[in-house]
Amino acid sequence: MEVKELQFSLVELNLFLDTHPTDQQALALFEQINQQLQMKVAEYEKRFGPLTVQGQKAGCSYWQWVEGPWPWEMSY
Amino acid sequence: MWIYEKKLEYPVRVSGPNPKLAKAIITQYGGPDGELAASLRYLTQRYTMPTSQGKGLLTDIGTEELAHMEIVAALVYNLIKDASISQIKAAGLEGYYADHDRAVYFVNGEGVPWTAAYIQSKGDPITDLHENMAAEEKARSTYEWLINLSDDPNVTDVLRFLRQREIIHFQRFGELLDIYQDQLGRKKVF
Repeated sequence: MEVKELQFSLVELNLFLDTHPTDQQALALFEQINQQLQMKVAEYEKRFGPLTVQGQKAGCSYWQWVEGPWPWEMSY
Repeated sequence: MWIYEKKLEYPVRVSGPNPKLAKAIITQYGGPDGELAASLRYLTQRYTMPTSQGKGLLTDIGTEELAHMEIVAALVYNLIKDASISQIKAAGLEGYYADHDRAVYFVNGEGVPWTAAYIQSKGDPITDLHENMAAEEKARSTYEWLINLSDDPNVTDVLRFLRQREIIHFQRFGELLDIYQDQLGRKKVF
């Protein structure tokens, strides 16, 4: 859930920065949240498997990507 | 190119089978003001936006709309996947069921399939941005009416999130329109 919140903040900042590309406060916040997100994504992928295909665990003997559930099958 | 993230932008939870509600919500999947139309509209208009900034904004909003299309699909899928035949009949979904079983297809609430005629791409950024702002407002209104129809608080919560995003997109398109109109006012030709 934390990953979702941080990623959503980045989506929102992304669109804001598209039309306010020199807003220093938004730029700083983007950088800060982006760093936090990297850490949380790594933790998430360790527990639940890859969020993108690049999340495949090094040395894993099977392809994790095709393991369920898919996002529309989650019960939160 | 695009890279898929194995998650929804906003979590989808439904209280139980509700094909009647699915029948209304599916219009935001394949209807005139739905998420497929939104994403394809922006992703095809972006090629002729006159500045890198405009190309970026349309790419990014078009991409977010794909994520919204997935959220709407998740709602419809979960509302009909365990519905009984009698519930499907009671919802007036026999015609849909005959063609698609419980699969998710691009139609509006009355079963009319999606058409590219729902969207425009005029090559004139002022024209296209006005279309996009109107499209965001039409989608926002549709979510309002869907919230009025919803008898599932979990679904209403998701619809509120989607409604809110339309307001943000309207705002961002408006800002880009202002930027372009300022540039035109300074007689800068694209």
